Amino acid sequence: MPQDHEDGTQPVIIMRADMTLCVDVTAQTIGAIDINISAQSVGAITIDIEAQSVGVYLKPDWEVREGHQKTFRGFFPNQGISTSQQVQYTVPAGKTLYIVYFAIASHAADSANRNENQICRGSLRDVTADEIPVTIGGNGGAAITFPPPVEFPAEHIVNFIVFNGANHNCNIYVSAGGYEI
Amino acid sequence: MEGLDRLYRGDFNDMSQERQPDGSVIITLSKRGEHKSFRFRVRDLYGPDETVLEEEVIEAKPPKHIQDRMKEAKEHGR
Repeated sequence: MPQDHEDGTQPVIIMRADMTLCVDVTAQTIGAIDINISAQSVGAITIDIEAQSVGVYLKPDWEVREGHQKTFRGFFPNQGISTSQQVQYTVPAGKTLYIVYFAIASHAADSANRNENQICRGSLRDVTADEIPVTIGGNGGAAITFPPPVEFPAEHIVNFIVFNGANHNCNIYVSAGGYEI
Repeated sequence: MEGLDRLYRGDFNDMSQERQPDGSVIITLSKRGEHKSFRFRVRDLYGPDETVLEEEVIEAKPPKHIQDRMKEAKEHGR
């Protein structure tokens, strides 16, 4: 095992073809534990922590905490029958956009049509890859969350699309969110 | 142009777009902790003739009378 660093940190580097690893750490305070695992497959990771407070975050929550969250909204008033609109975005070079929710909404532009069906449809479109990974629809609106985020690579053009499927003009909305790192 | 630069850098947390009757789009970008928004109108967004037609920076602060009351409330709590 390598020597302790002068600042008290203890580097541990293990390289083996097959292994089971048990680590016991005892300390009054721990500044950080940084574990990087590179393996073709990992059977199980079990971590027992006895501490007064420990923060464990899901990846999207962590990225929000780090300030990497992204939200997108579009408002398109008085759109005609079978009209679609979109919020456009191009993922910056060197970054990846992960979308975790997508929602659309629609209501009649003319109050006389407010009791009618407000059919709308929405799509997430990767324009660069010419792919539409998600399409949703509903009467008045629809929303979906993605436990595995929908990923858009760097420099890809992303359209968040909403379509007025009602038989009258509608105010239509689209929103989406996630994080970009 | 700072708003458009931020859009291309992805330097924002929140973006809204409002399509205008003339085909242009009004984009508003904001970033956590900055207390200001960049609102700009673009023609031919992401197109070859992309042009920023107008831009303004909006300070995201409560009205002065609310700021004054918050200041008073803080002083009363001491």
